[in-house]
Amino acid sequence: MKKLSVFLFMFIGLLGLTGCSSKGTEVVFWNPFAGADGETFQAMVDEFNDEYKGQYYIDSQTTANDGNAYYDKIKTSAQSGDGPDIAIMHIDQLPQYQANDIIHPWSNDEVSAMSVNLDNFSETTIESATFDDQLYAMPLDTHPLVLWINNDMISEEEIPTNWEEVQALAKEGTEGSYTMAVPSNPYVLNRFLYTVFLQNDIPIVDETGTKVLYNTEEAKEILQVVQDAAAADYTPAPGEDVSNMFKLGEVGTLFEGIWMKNAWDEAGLNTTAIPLTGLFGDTPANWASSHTFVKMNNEMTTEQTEAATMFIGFIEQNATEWAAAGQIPANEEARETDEFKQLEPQYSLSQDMDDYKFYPSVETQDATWLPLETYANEVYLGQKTPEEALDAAQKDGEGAAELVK
Amino acid sequence: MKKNSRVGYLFLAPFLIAFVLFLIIPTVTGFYLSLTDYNGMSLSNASFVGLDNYRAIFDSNSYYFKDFWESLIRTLMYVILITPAVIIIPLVLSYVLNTMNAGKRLLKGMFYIPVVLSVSGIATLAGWVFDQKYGLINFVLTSLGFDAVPWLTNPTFAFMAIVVMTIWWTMGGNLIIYIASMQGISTEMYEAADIEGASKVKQFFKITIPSIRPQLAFTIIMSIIASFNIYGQPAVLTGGGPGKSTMSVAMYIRNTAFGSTQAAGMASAMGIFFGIMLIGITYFQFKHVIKEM
Repeated sequence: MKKLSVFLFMFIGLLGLTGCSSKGTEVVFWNPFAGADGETFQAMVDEFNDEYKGQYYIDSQTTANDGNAYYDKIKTSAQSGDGPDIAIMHIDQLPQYQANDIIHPWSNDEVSAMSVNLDNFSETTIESATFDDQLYAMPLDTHPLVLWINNDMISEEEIPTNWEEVQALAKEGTEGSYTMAVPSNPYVLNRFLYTVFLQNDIPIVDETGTKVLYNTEEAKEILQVVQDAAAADYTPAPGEDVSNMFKLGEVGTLFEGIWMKNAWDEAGLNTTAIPLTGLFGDTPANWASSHTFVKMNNEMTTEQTEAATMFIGFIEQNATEWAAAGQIPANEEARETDEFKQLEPQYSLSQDMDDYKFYPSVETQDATWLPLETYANEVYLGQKTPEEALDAAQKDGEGAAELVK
Repeated sequence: MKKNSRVGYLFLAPFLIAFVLFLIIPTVTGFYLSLTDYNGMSLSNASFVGLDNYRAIFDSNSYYFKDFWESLIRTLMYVILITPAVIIIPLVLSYVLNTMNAGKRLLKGMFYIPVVLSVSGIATLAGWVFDQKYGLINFVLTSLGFDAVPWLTNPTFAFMAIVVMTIWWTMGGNLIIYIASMQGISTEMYEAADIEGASKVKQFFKITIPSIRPQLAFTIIMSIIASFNIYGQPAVLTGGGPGKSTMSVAMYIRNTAFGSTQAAGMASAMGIFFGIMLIGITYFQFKHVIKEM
């Protein structure tokens, strides 16, 4: 009896060590996809597990990133060794995790095993995923901030194409039937400002990642426009949830992420979306981010690495399925498929891939840029002047960057 | 005797194991981290910095000084506003409920239900109630001809919304303790007081309160500690905003560890300092306040 127990313990331990089970070689995979996009992604994981039943098994675990919970979990688990084997990570988060050795590079052999051709990805995407000449992340998609349009409220002729038309459309708004709205969500407002700053050639951070460069006269003017527009009668009152108002048909257009596609469809809205390039300045630029696959600092067996690369390859090859959840595939090959060409507004928005700009790829990106999120929201609410907000953001940003460095 | 004490330790073992695992070890580890510049991501790159993190808490030139002390003072304000309310309101309610015959169980249930809900659920619900455009309160106000109030985007209103939400969420726990303890008071004392002509108010202060002193002491201590540790309510309802106007010290410590500064060592020092402060306050209560009761 005792011998049997010892044998069972050893057997179970061995299974744990090798990541093997009756399900096949097991790989733990973490992702932040909750809600409608989470259902789409889980369905893709299930398809993979069915197709490779008994050979590979992806144990997909989701943690919604509310309040940054997903990344908090990744950081703490990386220290305790309880983290996943592979994970989804936003492209702008990569620098800090790479600098701290939490993510490991994909070798050329591993990339080959994914059956992915890196030439099919934009230069910007690959550059942002590469550190010390090594690829640390396999990009899955691109998700820009866009201008959503309720087709039942805004006609095709009214859709703005430049700053003058944006202003003209905004001023047509009346209570209960607004045409435009200043983003009430601080997260969205910050990405909106990033877009407007870049379109007006306002830099964000210097090359060393320690000096905040966006505290300029032009930035003050932009924030003043934001404050005035929010306080005007022709837009919703500051603090009103404009995303909800768009959903209820009380606002005709909305600055939001492309990932809201499913939410609008579920609400029965008849929508389209346009990129932001050209709406606020002459320089083509539009904030975007990208979900990427990263290899964590867990030691994987050869079989697990094989399972992980097969899985990533499978998802990349079925990126159109993922795109239906409101994403643009990072892989050009997927963007050229007939299936993707049927997806609107994703396909139309994919025509501007070169204009989509990620946050600067520096370790101090959060430190230097995030403080503006808090203070810009106060400008929008009329509780701080643009000057106060930019000064405070610069002080906080440079102070935090100094600490990170 | 010896055998009995062994059995005693055996019964204590589950608690002691949990106590060591989830309190002693994290506290010792936290103290060690507080003496380093650990960034929350790479322990191998952390250097020993001695008491530098503790000095930064008190150094007015440090990056953390202003926000840490402001969030601590804000937390103190939460404690000052929430604690008396979650003691006094349930105390009065339980006294009234104990005198009722009909509807008592229903009302007890109604007051207690929020306690069993998670902070995320409560805060989401509060978000709907306080929503500026579609919220229940503003619906009533605007229906009566008043202007809508920016409950969650005005610093003062947002702070008060969190206070009100916390009182509603937590007072049910104290209410049940008071009701149970009041039911243990002999009815003969109230009958005698009635015969003597004592009013209900006088009976409340002269019979009820003195009879439930131990329970009152327990709830006061626990409510103060719980109010100091306020985190989930502002984190979910306002994200600490607008600006930093509703950010509690627990939220600030979390942000210091995992936010843009990546200063988990510094956050550990803040956590240790805050913990020592709470132990001091609780000790003071035991020594001077509870002893008097």
